Amino acid sequence: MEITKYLKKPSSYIMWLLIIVFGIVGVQYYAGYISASTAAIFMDLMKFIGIALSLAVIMSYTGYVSFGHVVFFGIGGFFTAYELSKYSQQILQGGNPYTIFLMGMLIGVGLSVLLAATVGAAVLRLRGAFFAIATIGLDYVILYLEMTYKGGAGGGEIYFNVSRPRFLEETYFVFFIAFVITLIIAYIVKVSKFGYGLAAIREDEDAAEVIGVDTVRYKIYAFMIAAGLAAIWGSVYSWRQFNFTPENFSLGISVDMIVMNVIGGLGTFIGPIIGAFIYYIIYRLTNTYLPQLAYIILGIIVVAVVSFLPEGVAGLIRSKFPNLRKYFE
Amino acid sequence: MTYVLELEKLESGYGETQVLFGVNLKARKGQITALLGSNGAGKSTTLWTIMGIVKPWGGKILFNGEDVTMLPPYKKVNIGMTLVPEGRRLWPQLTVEEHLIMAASIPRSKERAQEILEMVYQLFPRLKERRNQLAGTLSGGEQQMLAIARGLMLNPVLFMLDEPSLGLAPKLVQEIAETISKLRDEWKLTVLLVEQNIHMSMQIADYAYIIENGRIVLEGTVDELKENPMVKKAYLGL
Ligand SMILES: Nc1ncnc2c1ncn2[C@@H]1O[C@H](COP(=O)(O)OP(=O)(O)O)[C@@H](O)[C@H]1O
Ligand SMILES: [Mg+2]
Repeated sequence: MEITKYLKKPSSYIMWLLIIVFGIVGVQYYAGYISASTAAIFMDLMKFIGIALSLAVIMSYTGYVSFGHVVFFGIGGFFTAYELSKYSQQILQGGNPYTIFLMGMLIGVGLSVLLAATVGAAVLRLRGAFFAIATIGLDYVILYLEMTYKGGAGGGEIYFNVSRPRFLEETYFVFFIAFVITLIIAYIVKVSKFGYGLAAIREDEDAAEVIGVDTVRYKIYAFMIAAGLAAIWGSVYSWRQFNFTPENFSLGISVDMIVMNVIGGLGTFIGPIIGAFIYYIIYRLTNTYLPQLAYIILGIIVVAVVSFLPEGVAGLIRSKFPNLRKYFE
Repeated sequence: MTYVLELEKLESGYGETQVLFGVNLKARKGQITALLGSNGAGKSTTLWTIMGIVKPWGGKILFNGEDVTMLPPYKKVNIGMTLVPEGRRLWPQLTVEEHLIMAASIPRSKERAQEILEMVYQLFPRLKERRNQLAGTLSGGEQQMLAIARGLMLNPVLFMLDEPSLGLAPKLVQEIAETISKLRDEWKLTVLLVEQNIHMSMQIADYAYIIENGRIVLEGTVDELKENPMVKKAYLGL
């Protein structure tokens, strides 16, 4: 099978390493050797890497910035919270919250993928900035629709209670499963022939057409995958927070995703992962010590990276250490 | 005479600007047809329009007698219409072999990929030596070979080359000319060669068209054109 072949390439080693490390942390946490606050750091990291990779499929692999990509994160979160609050009575009386959670996630992911297919079919035929602008518009439209939702707490907010013993430890594994799924999908997309086609589009769309890439279809598929992955993370995030708020549609989250991709380096699988680590560290440090300046400092770092490292940190590593290239695809 | 490609009154352009004004051209099966003209005459536009990347405004494109005017580019590639674009348009970050494998992944080539790859390496042994090298690190001549090789991996019937001699030293131009002749004689391809280098083209082509300002102004067999006073004066500098 081609897929198993991809999963043995040297460039997959870093992915496996991440899976092993985050898996071990989870087991240790469950066994009580790691504190909840340390585990929370790892969960945040998984979410950052997850949302960065979700955007990477369309922005970094394909070269089309989905500026309002947070819309899919929001949709995933909304339907998860919606389903869980709708059935919270049954859950509190002993029903299995995971089936409800999974149902909410599937609805959120399914609708996100459909929406991406529809919007993609309309605007990905065109090149240039149309797509970025259209996705911002999409985010606003969906956000305002969602704000009119009067169920739950009103004002677009939904709270639910599915609390049960060991909820936090279990949630780590919910994140971990989403993490593994995201890593494997994003990796396979990158190294498969489909991924080569996306890279061709990114580098030179006319040249891609000349070698027979069905560029419109490729772009739409990439967008659908990117949307589905973002929805998964919106969903598990709601699950962890016990709520959904319209904040989950804020363009700030979109900017986070874009910045992580830019810092890490566009066009690679490893780039958004490195970008997420760096971004997370900076984010923690600034939020702890200089909360007022957090976004200014992040802004300066982005400008510095764009000016001095146009190919991001991954690009720097790849050019400084050509021998490592095969691990850093 | 059978024609692999026929353009009937082809018109196209960019935005509001019309570039092609009713181009009529035929590529004869198993021959090299040259489309010659100076910079800005509309040669590249003709090729991009044939491939459908620039959309035709009017006229017809027939491939093996079938109307393909409105077919999307990837479908054209899949019936054997191949363009080696001007300026190579390679991916500097991909290796030689990655270029070739990627091209061979279209449905048309998939089954025969290994076989074509061997033929291509036989034609360009230098590419075989450099199979794992990044395209960005190749010399100009090698890049042109790779661009041609990538096109061949698409298993073409009609092979269109846009100024393959551009920017190459005379010795390399000669090599490329020999390669193109081989594609006709040994690979049995129908070739549409776009060039500004009239000398090189006249040496290998069978039939030629001359384009000026988006219109064909002259056509004929190469032997006829060589004797044409206008061609002698304007293009061959005689
Ligand atoms: N992408 C483009 N957008 C607008 N005009 C173009 C574009 N490409 C070419 N042109 C114009 O079309 C005309 C023909 O160009 P081209 O087909 O590239 O000529 P040639 O290949 O014979 O040198 C020129 O006037 C050129 O400026
Ligand atoms: Mg040209």
